[in-house]
Amino acid sequence: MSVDNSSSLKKIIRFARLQPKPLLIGIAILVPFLIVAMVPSLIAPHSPLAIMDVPFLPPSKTHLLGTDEIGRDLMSRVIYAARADIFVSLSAALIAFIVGTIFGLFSGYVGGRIDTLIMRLVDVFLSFPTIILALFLIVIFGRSEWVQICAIALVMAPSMARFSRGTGLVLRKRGYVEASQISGASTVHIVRSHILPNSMPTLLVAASVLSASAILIASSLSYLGLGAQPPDPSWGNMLRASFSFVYQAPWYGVGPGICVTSVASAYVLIGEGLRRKFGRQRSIMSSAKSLASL
Amino acid sequence: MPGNISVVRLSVRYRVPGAELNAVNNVSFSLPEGHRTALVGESGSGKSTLGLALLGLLPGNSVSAVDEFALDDTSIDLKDIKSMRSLRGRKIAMVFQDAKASLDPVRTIRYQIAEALRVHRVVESKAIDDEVMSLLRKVEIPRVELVARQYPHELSGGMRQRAMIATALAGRPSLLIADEPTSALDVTTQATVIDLMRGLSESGEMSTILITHDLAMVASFAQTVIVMYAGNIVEIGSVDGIYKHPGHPYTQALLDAIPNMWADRKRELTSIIGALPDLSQKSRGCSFEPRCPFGKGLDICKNKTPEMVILNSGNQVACHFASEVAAGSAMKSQKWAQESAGEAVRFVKSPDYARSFDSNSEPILRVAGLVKTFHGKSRALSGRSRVVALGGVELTLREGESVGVVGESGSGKTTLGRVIVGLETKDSGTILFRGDTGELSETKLPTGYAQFIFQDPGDSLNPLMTIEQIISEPLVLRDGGRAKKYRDIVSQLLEDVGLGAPMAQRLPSEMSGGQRQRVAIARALSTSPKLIIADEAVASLDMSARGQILNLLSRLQRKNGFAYLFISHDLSMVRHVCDRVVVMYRGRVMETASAEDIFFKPEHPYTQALISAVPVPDPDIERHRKRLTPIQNIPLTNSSDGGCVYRMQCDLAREECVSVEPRIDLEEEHGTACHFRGESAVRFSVPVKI
Repeated sequence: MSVDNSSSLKKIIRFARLQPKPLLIGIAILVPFLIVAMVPSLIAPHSPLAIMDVPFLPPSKTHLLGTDEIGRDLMSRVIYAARADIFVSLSAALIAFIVGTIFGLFSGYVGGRIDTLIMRLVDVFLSFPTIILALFLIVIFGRSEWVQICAIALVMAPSMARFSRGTGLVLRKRGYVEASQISGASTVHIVRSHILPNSMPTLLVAASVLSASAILIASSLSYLGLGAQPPDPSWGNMLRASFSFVYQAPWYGVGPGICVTSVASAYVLIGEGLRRKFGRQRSIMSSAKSLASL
Repeated sequence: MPGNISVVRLSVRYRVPGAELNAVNNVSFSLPEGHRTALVGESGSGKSTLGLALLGLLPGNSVSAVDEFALDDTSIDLKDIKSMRSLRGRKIAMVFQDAKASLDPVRTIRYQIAEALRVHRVVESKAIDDEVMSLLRKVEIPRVELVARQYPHELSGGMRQRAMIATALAGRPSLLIADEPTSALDVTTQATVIDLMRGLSESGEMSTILITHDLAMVASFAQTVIVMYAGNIVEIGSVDGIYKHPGHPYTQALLDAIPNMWADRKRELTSIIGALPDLSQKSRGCSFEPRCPFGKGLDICKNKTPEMVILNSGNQVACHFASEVAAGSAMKSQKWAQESAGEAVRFVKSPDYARSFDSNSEPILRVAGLVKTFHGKSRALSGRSRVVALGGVELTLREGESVGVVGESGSGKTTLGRVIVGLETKDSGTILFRGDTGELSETKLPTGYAQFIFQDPGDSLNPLMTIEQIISEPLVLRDGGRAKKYRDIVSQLLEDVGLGAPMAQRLPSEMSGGQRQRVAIARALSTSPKLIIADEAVASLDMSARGQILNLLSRLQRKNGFAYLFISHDLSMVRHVCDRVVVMYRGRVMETASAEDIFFKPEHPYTQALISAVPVPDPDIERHRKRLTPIQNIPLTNSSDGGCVYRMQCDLAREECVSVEPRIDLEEEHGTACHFRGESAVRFSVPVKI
């Protein structure tokens, strides 16, 4: 690798130039957040809990985003909050994706009574307002991070199931699925080796939209006081706090607000980029091949 | 009489990312007034582009140039968008393939034709209604008052296409361009629409250019035939000249690739080896050279673009060896046979193409009283719609036999195949397979016993799997293990279907349609099935690939001895490959007999109508044949009310047909479900070449 460094860099650049713009922009926004979330201690100037200065200092060189109501450095708090928010939202989106996809694809492929049963169940879940359902679950099962994740996953899985059911429904009539049926393939075999791989492109697009709504739900929950508990920072609980001091420190909410919006938009952009990319290409395999050739 | 056209040096290029495709290269031709012309060629030959160019309807990424285009001795500027707009519909009109997409679904037929009349201000507004009716009568639509009030979805495909032609005629054009107007229609409807278009042209209204890939259909329609290849006109000639003395190797190859229903069955269909050249490269020589059996590798063909020469037959041919090609037809056919047999000889020793099928061999499949009804969505008031796809079908298939199932869309032929392999469940009836005991029994379909070849090879291969994985899947499912375990079998199968073992690691997207269908065949053969069901297996392929696949299937059958259910709407193809034919109509078997009997002595009025509608690639036969046409545009009911299902379209129908459903006797060699088979049998005669 290192021998041929410059040319492989060129290759990467050439590869990147062929990708849809929204995808590149989305990744460019998301990657810094992911790095910050993974190693906040290396980037944050101060501890998120240490009281550094007088309260409500406006942004300055020492405190890039100012200080909060008890004098903690807001920049550091925003950085540490990234870990909690991104971890919760991504884990929740992943669980919702897996559960929703499995149920949805089987439901769409098998059809009949099982399909009706699963879809009516989905309807029941979808008829509750998302936040209220999550709130309800957290109140029952406690406030731990994992309860949060599961609650968010549970409210999002039904919409993922409904979406993937659609692709399962389309793919079940494909010739290769029917050829497999004639050769005596089981339902599990068909879903695993034909339906799942071929629905991946559309499912990935859905997954990125899912991640965007997951981060919004996660911050809403902590805004409502059901996420990370003070003094631990999260973007949601910082926004909530800033709301009370909007006259003393109007800049307070800007940092966490920008973060939530940027991450959510990054997911949406990636989703849009993937959609364009797969729309242009016949299969996800060819893009995998071009990646492998790097 | 209007409609003379002259085109001088018309070129069209398409700009696509990274390349420019020369879709039409310096094409020149002129046609006299009131003339019927056919523009033929494979897909990608530039024939549709040429048609669109004459209408000024080319897509935005195209660049066109023309030295002169004149219609009715008036020069037309194709670049002038405004004047082209006013000419379209008035001077030049177009009929597209898909009338369903071209008609507005929320407007009545009357409205749509009237709209065309208003736009072109052909008649005064008072007279519009009368004009609509007279146009509908002109396109031979029955019960015009009713049809005028109907919406497109209420009409059958043939009637929609007629309505489409009526809107095209509204502006009284002097040139009508029809791009594959009948490809979406059933064979009997296709014949009537072509007859209508010929009639309209004969009555002196206009010139017609028919764009099609179907050379057989052209024989009954055209006066002049223009053959295109890779954007060039390779041959222009009268219909007799083209069919009897083709001067270009490509024209000959196209003609040799179509099966002739009444011709000798022993002939293998020849096919054009290779693919269209890369249109982004300007070739120095003849564009057909790489595929040409005559000039392949010759210096002059490689390096010099052939000029048009005029032969004794009157054909203009763009070939350096035109006179030799036209004259040496005997030599040519020999050479062709060698060329196309090249891949075949590897495993076929016997030169005799016709198989002798042993009619005493054991039955491997028996279907009795098979019924399948599809239920539509329930609607308010009208209740649930019911479609009887199979209404008591009887069928026996013997070991090594090939049986063709023919019928028009909606006849239930596809459903029959799908029910047999278990893709659809049956409502009632029995399906018996021959199990291990050698007896026919009603068991679940044994794994690997029957395989299916689908119509669309693009859809029937998983795009994410390698060819090896695809072909070995049935084996993996039956015998377990991983794809790699069957590597040897896969390479043998790839050899058998003429692809070669190195293809195993490719993906379907890296293959052509014909190659993909070969992969689908290899997959079907992997479990050495007793029965292969091919559902329109060649319908989506180009003419040149079609012959190859049909030959391949016949050869493999001789080698492996499977029985073969060939479901098709194309009777010429069925005639070419099948021992026995089953004719279906609305879920019932109308007639079953040996292929010879079906084509030469059909007894059922429906079979007769089907056979007499099939175009034959021979202008002499086409000129002297009489069609037995089914009655068109009747309300189609699917209910089994006890009578004969065909009686509504049958010209022989009587009282008896309403009350008693005729039954087919399977014990007979030639079974016919008709009360009047004796009467109908005598009226059919095979047209003889005069």
